[in-house]
Amino acid sequence: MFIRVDPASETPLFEQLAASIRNSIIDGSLAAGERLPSARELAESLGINMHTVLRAYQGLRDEGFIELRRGRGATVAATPHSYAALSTGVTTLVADARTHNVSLAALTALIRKEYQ
Amino acid sequence: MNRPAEDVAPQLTRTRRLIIVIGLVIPLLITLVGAFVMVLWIPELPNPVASHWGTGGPDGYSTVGGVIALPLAITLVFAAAASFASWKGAPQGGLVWAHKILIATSVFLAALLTVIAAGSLAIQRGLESADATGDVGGVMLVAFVVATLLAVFGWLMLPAAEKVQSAPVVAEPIGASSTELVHFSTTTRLGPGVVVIAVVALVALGLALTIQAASNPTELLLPASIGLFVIALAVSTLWWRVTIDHRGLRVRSAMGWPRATIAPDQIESVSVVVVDPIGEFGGYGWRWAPDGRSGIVLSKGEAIEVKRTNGKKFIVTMHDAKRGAEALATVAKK
Repeated sequence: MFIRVDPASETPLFEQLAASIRNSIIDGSLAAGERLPSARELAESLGINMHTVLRAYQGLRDEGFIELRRGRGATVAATPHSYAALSTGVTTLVADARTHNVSLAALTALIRKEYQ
Repeated sequence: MNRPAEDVAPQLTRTRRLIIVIGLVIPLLITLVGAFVMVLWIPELPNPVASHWGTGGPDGYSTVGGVIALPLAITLVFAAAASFASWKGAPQGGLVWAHKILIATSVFLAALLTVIAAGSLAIQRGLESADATGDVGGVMLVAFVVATLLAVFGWLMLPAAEKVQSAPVVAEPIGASSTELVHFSTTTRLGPGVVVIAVVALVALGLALTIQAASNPTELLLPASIGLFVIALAVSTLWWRVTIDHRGLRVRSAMGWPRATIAPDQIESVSVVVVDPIGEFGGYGWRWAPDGRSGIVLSKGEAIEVKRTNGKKFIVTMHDAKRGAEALATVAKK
């Protein structure tokens, strides 16, 4: 698992942290069932507040990426599908949007509308 | 110094011929000739013969057949295992040092056991009873010297040990801003094949302790404590957690001990290397190589290599070593 966060950035730390972990799960460097460091360990390792880590973990649990269980800590949730196929689809979609000068906001709005 | 591909196969053929001659034929010849000479002596020997010596002379006895058969049996098993283990050869068709040691040891064992067996029988020729056998100190000394000379000769006959070290690729720090915080963590574990071998060895050790407990419980304490310590250490070091952050590189075995830390200010540079555990480190686990490198070597393939400011190199095998090395280079830079 590889995490980069920048306290000087405008994006809140917990969001940066969640994005880092989410990316590790999507690119497969964190496998299903793998145990994440405890919130306390990760907070000490990065030199940030433990509640920031907990907030990131809770967000990822709500998105279905990880499971939080008392006594077992955080583990990567088992998903019935792999993200590999989906992310190639997204790559072509984004490239398509770029060639047509569609903004990120417009693209996400389209995706959101389709999803609902 | 890489050989062109078409030269590797003939070199491997030469290497295998040497493995057969030095690792198998010579050891077996030594033991067979020894056994033949000992068989000729049988009419002159007492029955039973002395086979074990204490401080005050012989204190263990066995049949002549047992003394003759033991070097044969042990040599056969060890020579076969040594030849089998080194049969694949090194990437350039030669041998790695760990396999050279195995083959030379096969010669050493054959000579040592044969000279001890033959020597201890030679001093019993013409005796009515084995009780009158003299001291075997001289025999042991001669056996050790002869075996060492033959093993050195065997070592010199083998091709020079091949270096299988890959060229390190220096990792660059990630283009991170000075305020950025970095964390990389992963686990590194022994492959399933090696685990099976380790489990067999540990079960054998456990069995030996159980037999000792049943047969001689009074002398159990020391071997049991050493044995249990070895088992615990082996189980603990099958699996390690690796953490890279502003505190540097930290490796921690499954039970929390042993562990090691390298602080960022002790790091000179970080590289990605490809590691061959047997060829470079002579095995798996927390290892020291003859060239002064040490590290956690649990799998064949990618590893990070940390060069410390004191010049020493520390290696940890892991999946995704490139990203780990970049993360460590980033914290080392700060």
